[in-house]
Amino acid sequence: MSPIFDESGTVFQMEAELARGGQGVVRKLRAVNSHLVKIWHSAPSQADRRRSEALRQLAGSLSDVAALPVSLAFSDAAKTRHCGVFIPLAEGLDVFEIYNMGSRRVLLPGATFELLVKTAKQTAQAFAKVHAHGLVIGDVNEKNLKVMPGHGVRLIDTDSFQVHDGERLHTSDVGTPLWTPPELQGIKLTGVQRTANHDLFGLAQLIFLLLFSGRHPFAGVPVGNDDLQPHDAIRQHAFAYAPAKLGLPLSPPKAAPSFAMLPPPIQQAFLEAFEPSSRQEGMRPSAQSWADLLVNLEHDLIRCQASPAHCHWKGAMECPWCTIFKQTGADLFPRASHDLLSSVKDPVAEVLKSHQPFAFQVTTETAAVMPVQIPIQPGPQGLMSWCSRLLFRQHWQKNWQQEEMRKQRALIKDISDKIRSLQQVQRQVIVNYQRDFQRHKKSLQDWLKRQPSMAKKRSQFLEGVLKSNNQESLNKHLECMMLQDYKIPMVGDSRMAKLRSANILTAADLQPQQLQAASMPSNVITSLLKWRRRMARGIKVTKSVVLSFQDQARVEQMLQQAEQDHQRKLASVQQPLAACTKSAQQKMLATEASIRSLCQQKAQADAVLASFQSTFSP
Amino acid sequence: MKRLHAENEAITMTPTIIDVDFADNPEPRAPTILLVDTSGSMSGKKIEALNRGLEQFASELAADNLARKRVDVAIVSFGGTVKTVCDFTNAESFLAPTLQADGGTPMGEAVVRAVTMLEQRKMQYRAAGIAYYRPWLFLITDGEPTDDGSHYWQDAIALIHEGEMKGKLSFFGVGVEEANMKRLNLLCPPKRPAMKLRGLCFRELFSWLSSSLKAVSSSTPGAASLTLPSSAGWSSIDL
Repeated sequence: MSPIFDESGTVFQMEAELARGGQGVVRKLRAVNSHLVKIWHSAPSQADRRRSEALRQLAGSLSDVAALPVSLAFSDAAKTRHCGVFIPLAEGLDVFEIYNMGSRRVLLPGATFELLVKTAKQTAQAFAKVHAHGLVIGDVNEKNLKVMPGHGVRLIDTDSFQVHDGERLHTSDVGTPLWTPPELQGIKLTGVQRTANHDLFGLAQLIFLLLFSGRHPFAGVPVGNDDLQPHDAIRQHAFAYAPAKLGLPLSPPKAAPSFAMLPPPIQQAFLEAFEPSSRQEGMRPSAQSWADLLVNLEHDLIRCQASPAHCHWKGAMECPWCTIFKQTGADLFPRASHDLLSSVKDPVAEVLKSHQPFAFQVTTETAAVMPVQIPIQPGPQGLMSWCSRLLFRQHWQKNWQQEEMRKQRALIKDISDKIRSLQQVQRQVIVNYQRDFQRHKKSLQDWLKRQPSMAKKRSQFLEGVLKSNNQESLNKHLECMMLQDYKIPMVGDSRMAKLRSANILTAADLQPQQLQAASMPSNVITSLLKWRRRMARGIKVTKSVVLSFQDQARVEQMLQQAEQDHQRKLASVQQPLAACTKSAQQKMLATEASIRSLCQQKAQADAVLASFQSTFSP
Repeated sequence: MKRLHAENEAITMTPTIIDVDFADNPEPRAPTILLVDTSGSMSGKKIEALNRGLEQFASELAADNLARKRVDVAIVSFGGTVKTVCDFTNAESFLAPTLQADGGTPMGEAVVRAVTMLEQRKMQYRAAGIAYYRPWLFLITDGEPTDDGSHYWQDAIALIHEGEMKGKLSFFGVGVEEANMKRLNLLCPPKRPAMKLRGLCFRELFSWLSSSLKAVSSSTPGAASLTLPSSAGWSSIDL
């Protein structure tokens, strides 16, 4: 490939073609990562050169929003043959890959409405800046805007921008019907002076597509039976979301977000951008006013409680994404499977932590719980008492008291022995309990270790759902492979007829049981299944990495069921732990009651003994 | 199980599945039906070249990340019987089938089937609020209809001419080698007569077809209306 030269005379080698458009071919440059070269299909005129030079002068000040030409390109070192322009490389995704749900799901799994609002705001800001520099974009479309999520947007294909070089106006002669404003539909664009108001039609469309997840503002359910091609709808100002009283030929699609999900000022801006009066210069909302409206919307976003991936304007009556999901089963903002996994905690440690042995303690000897009753008059009662007082008061009473004191001491010793014995029983109960508890806890721990963690279960379910989705996608392809359209080893006309009569028509129908039911010989079954596998291997299914709202609900349901089963089993595994604690508790309580009772008896005996000792003291 | 061969059978997708598919990808659609002659005379090199052309068509469409979201392809073959080889599929997931040649040329019946399929597809687009471009019917044959004695042939001519006149469809007829161009032209609209394929340039033909369908989503210099690329690469007469 011949070399190419910039304005300073530096030589570059061109490489692979990156894109081909109406005007020219964009190629990579060898060993240059920051820039590309666009070579025009036909030799540029003097006017083309002047346009490029005028745009190049603004390249620096607009570098953050538009990839304007930075140098003219020449096919000779003498710089006499102008053949194109050098342009900065604008990396990122095409804007339609952001607003189209199918692309977004693959390229930006887990992206929310917030990203779309932010991209719309940045697009409006880029248009505002370009317009402020006196340029008109002209060829606004879904392929001419690159989005780097988190880093802004850049307009590309800028060499067709309309620019005034100080002497003459260089018009933008390019367009596509789907993006042409009503006032220019069907008009030959060559030499037509484009205006910012024309660009603002395209901007409103871009913003609408972003906020409505790829729904086109001029696509709706037709009121009549006539075919209405997209550019015809634009020509008729048939904005599908306009109030019904306007009697436009389209009504909003049922699976599209409701117009009311947006703040009234934004609704009004869309109406102003698309209504018939918008044809007049200056009537469409400016890029800056769009940017301001979208800044406000960005601040007023909230998350829905049903799914953290659902984000919407706080003034909406309900979450628009949940509404669409309920109506159609389509989740426009599904959660990425890795988001779901990251929020999972492993509960095994929690379970074990909840099982700590009960801290039983041996019941200590305490003071009497009940008030101690001290005998009022120690000594023999009744007639004995009267006689003793009369005859042997001194001598008999002394002996009787000594005898009573000895009895009390023996009683106290007996009670103390019983208390100690019961305390020993308690100690043994505690030792046995701790041993049993640890044994049962070890069993529980082993069982828990054998159980898959919640994270693993969730991961298994997620994988299962994703796999089944991918399998469904593969099956769709297999269903399209009609057996009779292929030459399958060992299957001639008669076997084909036999398969047909058994309703085995497509590659998807080739299942062992069905083939056996169709009385196919085993070697033919093997051959057919081998052929099916070969065909399936040849199908490239884009593996889905995100889960729809519906899939998430399925996974959550499976997890709930699994959790219930787990809790049921866990309860039975935990049962011996609770049982051994309960049994130990009962034994401890029984002995404690006995010890308390003995303590009461002992306190009574102590009090009696003390009473004797006080009256007997010399 | 999806029944693809039933005669005049309604499309089996439920509204919900369609809603989900269209919510996933609400891009305006360009429905295209390829009507391919798979009669006995197409056997050998012709059907092999046609199959390679179809593969090229699938891969070229898939390579354009916007066109593949917009073009919906269906294939109806006519060889012995009329078969819906592939119901409407978005180019993103379209896989080229391997066709086999056998039997007569029920061209009229195939055209009637295709027009019926188109009407059903359009009803789905309308119900889901999906914009669509004028559908294309692209017929390739190397012979002449064997059902021209039946009502199908007259119905087919009437449907195509009426569809073209009312702007409901665009019909393209392509003759291969010994095709009876005179008979084919009875079917084609007068403003777009049948084209003759140069040799077995099926790859070039399908490359042109994918480029033409891509043009729907491309910027056009000079005019705000669709202009097709030159067919000089495959046709003996440029379109």
